[in-house]
Amino acid sequence: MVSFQEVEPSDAALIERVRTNDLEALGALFDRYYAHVFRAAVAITQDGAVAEDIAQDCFLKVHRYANRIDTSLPLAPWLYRVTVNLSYTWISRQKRRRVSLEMVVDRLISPAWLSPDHIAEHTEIQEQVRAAIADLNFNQRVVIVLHYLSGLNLEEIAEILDCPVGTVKSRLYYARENLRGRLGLLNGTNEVAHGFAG
Amino acid sequence: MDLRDRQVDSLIEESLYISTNLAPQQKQDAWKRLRARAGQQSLLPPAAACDRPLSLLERVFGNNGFLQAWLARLAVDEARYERARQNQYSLRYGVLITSAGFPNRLVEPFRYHFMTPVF
Repeated sequence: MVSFQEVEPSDAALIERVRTNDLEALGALFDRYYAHVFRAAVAITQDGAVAEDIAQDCFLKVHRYANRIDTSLPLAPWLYRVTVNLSYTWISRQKRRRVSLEMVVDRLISPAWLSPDHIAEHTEIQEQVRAAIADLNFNQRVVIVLHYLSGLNLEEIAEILDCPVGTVKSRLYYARENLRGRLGLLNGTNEVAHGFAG
Repeated sequence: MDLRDRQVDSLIEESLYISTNLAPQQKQDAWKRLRARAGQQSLLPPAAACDRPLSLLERVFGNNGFLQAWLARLAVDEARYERARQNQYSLRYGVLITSAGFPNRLVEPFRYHFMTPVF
């Protein structure tokens, strides 16, 4: 039986086309992965505007380095690796600049990149969880983001971060413990988290 | 009261997903910018062979590898040569390397070559 369903071109096929400077192919990759890259960058940097820049740079690299991307490997890990590296660079620079506490608090409490609809959906608990994630150190935050937001398993994260699976496992464990501690504390003192107790 | 693992997991997932919302208009604007910027930049050529990391064998035996560098140093560094020459017999008998003296004999012609004054 003949199937009339259109088969989407593979990442490798699209990269081959990007190598010929085909911007439509880049657009197809953009459609496929932009949201994933942007979301990961927002979650790591906690800054929507910066995340947009990082996602832009990430896809500009796909275009610029198209000839050097190994098409025998999946593209997603490559994109996540670039995203994590760019986020790390940005965070390191921010630390050097010593951003004022007011800016950080402002960013955590009222993120400017959220749409009005989004703000309406944003519950207090989720805001507290987000703040707790923002308080994690870079390595733990990256593992949490890649695992829970990007849905990657330990092996995939280890490949992206170029570290042993055991290290990823340990970071994930301690990140969850930290979050659990923060949320557990909220649970005991704040009725906001009461609904999650039982 | 402790939160259960599953609850913590779903709380983290939900929070991350909602706090990283991407509006369709945002995505469209991003694509317009990306298209304009990509149109202005050129692609890099494929990586040359020299860009790939060298293997251990290449590092040791290849051009400008460890062995070549060591022999070159032995040939031109007087102190190093003398030390190796003086120790060659002790090495030969002290350690089970019977041919420990060979580098000096091998290096001798090179020393002449390297040390010949160039006019």
